[in-house]
Amino acid sequence: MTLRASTLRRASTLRRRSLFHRQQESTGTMTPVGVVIRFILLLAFGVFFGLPLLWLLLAPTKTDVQLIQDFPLSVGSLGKIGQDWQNLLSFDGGVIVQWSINSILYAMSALILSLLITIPAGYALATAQPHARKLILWLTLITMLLPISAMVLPLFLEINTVHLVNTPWSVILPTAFFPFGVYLAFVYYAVSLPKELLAAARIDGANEWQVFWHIGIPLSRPLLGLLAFLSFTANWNNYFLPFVMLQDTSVYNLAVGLQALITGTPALHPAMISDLPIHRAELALAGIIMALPVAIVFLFSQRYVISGALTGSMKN
Amino acid sequence: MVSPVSSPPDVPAERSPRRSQTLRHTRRVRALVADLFLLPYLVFLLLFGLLPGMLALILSFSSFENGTPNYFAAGLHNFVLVFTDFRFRSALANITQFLIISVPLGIAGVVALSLLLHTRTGWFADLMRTIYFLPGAVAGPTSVLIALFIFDPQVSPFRGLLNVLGYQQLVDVIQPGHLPLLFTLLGFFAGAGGWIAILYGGLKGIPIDIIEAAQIDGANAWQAALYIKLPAIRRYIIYLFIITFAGNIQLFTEPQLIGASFSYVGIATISPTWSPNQLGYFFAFTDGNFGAAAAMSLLMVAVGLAGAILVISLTGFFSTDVSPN
Amino acid sequence: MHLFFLRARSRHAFYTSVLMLVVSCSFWLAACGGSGPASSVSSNQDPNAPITVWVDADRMAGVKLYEQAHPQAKINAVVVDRNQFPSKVLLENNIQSGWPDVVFAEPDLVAQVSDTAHNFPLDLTPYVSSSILANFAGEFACEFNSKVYCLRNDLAQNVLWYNAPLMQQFGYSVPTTWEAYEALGLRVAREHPGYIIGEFGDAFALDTYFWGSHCPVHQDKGNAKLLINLPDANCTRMANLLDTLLPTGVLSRSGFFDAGMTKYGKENKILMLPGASWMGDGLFKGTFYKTADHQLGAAAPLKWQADSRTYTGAIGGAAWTVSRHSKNINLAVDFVKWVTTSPKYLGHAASYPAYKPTADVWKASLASDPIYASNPYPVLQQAALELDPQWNYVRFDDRTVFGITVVTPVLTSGGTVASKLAAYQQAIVQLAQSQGYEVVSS
Repeated sequence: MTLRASTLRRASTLRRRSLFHRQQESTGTMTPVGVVIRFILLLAFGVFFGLPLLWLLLAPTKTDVQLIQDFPLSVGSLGKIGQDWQNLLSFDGGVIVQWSINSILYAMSALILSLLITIPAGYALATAQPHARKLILWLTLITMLLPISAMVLPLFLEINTVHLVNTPWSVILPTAFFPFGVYLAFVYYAVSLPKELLAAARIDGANEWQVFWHIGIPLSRPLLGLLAFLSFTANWNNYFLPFVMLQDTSVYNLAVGLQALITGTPALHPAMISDLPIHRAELALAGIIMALPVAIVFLFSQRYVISGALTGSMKN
Repeated sequence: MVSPVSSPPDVPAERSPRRSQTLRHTRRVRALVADLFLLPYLVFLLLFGLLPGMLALILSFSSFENGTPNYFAAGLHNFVLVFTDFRFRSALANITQFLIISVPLGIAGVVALSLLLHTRTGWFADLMRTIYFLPGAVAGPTSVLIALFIFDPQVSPFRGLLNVLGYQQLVDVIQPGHLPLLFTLLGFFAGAGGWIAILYGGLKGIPIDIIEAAQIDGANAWQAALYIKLPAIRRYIIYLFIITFAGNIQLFTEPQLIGASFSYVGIATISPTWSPNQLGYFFAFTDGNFGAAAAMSLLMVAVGLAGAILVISLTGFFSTDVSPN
Repeated sequence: MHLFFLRARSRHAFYTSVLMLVVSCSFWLAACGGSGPASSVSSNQDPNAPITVWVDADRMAGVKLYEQAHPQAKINAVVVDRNQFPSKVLLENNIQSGWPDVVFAEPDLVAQVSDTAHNFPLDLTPYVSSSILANFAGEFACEFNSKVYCLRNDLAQNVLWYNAPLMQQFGYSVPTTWEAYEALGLRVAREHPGYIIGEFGDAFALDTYFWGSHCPVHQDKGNAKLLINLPDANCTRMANLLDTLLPTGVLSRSGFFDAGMTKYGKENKILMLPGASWMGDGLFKGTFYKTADHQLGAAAPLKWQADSRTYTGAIGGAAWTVSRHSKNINLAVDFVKWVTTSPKYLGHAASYPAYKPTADVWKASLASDPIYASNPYPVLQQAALELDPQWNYVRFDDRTVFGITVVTPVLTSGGTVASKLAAYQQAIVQLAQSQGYEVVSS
């Protein structure tokens, strides 16, 4: 540890100040009319985003007929939810639990891997002059823009060449490549990391790794939060890649499994005559269950995101 | 991981040739360390970005008469095929309309909501920000289920609004002329919250003393947003623009999923080749012509990239404090 | 490669490394690609090889029953979204492995995977005796260029559903011809406005009305030739019927699955409804239309007076197809034969079994069903044989295009059905040609 006390003090001063200002309620002076207009606007969008979700939350309490004939925001019976869950579990010996476990495994592995890759890359691109920096930025942008319909056959051939088709790796490895996150990290470090702090640490005699570890990482908690939930959401909801790569029901993730389960039932396809007890209520419940981890990760990561750029804690 | 850097600390400030040599050495070492930091990413970029991307490029020049590639056998034929396809024009017209509506609305909406949220922090803003994000958590068949109900004036939670607008049936709402706006709303519904979280994070990163200073100078919320906050998160907005433009050009999921499930119930207004990327997907997975699909996709990528190049060169998006240029 | 990259001192060196990468990639490509599709049946058969069966959630029951009856058979059942079946086959063709042995799918999906790019289904002619084949109703849907690419699972033949007490109360007799149906429709509009005798609210109108009118939307002319001729009198007669009835309000403008239709059902306003065999149990009963017990009657599909026979269409119905790549064709074929013919499975399924002897077992489930005014089995059985066999299952989505070019414009901006047929003709001719069909107009 070669960082001078003064540098550490500067970093922690930054942290304390913004912690102090966390109680700050307003970052702009508004007239009472402005306050009301802001409130109404935000609330209106709250309805736009929230009402369909509310409908979804209520859907599992209702039967198919109630969904069509009752008031859209009516509440059916809460006991129906348990029944829906039993119905979902009844399919193929509760394989939906296996799909959930797979989803968690794939999404978390890809998340961890992508953070390990993305953070140092974005840091280097923003704070240093690696070779071919601009070329890498351009190539990253281009690969980000390549649509899945063009990439799917090449990726499939590639994964097949190394005999990983139908294994978890076929999903984890390609999704750990997270160019969107690299850009986000690049933007974050370019905008939010004070260069003087890095310079000060270097003057203190810290080597590049120490600068990254003791300044870069602690000051990137909001970035970590952002990247974590964006990566997790993308991986968790990933349908197309797992659909292409996975060939057995037992290795499906939730997105693929649910799609396969639902298309054989009248839930979305009413002409599909089926003896299975899977209808719209069950689909809604499955959708809510599937959305829960993402919501939790979001709430958890937001504590980091809103903590502000300069609130990272310094180690000792 | 051991860093190779072992530069002597606090070199006395003397202007000697030795000193400048050390500086040059330090800079070179620093660049090498940066290379090392990038290395894992470069491996992944190569394996899962460049390699498949390059193969996609090669496929666009390959023929697929039997559903499998004959490399470089097609020449430019796939591009000709795409340009002359009878669905190409309408797909292009559709995506143009969609871009004209979705890009300005999407960016303005995300930026405005982020600024509004940031004006006063507290439980209300936190709650709203969370609600804005949550639709992004709902995926796949569930979002289709929501769309099936939301757009049907007979069962929608918004049915009052839809009836006021004069719509009685699902087909009235999803008629072809409405589709660009509907896809915009769907995209905004699912994607805006994530971007709001990103911009909000950027706003939170603005040092509080700058905003305070502006307040002391008598700036109101509007002025603070316009002159202090917007410039501070400029780079995030440029990124938002690049991704929105280049991403929306590739519109695929909304028309594909929604179109398919509406046609399950016989309500057909959305062609399976509504957008250019859907047409590309159709080439690939109905015709087995992955070459034409790649050609179609690369054309769209080229347009998106052209927009990105324009924006990046106009804004200096890539430049950093440490850039020599 | 990494070392080389790290040693790169100059940009030139870096670009050289990129170039080298490109070159090495191309070599890698050349090594892995280039294998043509296997055109003939997989020759290395293994009687002990397990088979992979792609089913939807509902059909898992069929696999389980087969396994019970054949404990030694090794079956790996995979639940898939079968709409993606053709896509998956294309990907598997590119790695020459991973194909399923048996797939449950609709005949139009089977049509899609039988083109040269997909080249998937096995011709079942050598494996299934002609006496068994002859016992399938609707098997024409599985025949492509005189090859048998699938065995039918269930049928969704259209009949004329009607409300028996209402018809009696109004003093109407159930029509047997389209002409009588039209005349009765005009009477209903006058005498009992608000009641409906059919629907024109979704794209299934194509199957209900135009298939049922022997209209050459895409008739098989052999050797990938399709007759597409919407100006044909068989099409215009139906368009004119619809254009006569639509303004009177006796045709619902809500589709089968629409909330508006359930409202008609709830208010007991559905007097008649041409629709599929499964709709009695699937839509009228219980949940959707809430028809009271002992009211629903089934009448034979309508016939045009001038025609020598009745033609009817279908909404739904699926089949089982076997892969030409299967390593254990015997087991795959045995499974498909069993699952389509054994009364143990389809004898108790939800929809009408295509295999005639099984349908005779299945009819018991109808007899005990309280929804019907009288046993509809004789009507369903007859209708199963009246499916228009010249209606070809094609590799393009005829129905969605019909919705876009005909139904939606009529519903949202008015105009007659007849005036939209030209646009439909043009759209599907283009689609058919792009799918490699030769289109003829007579």
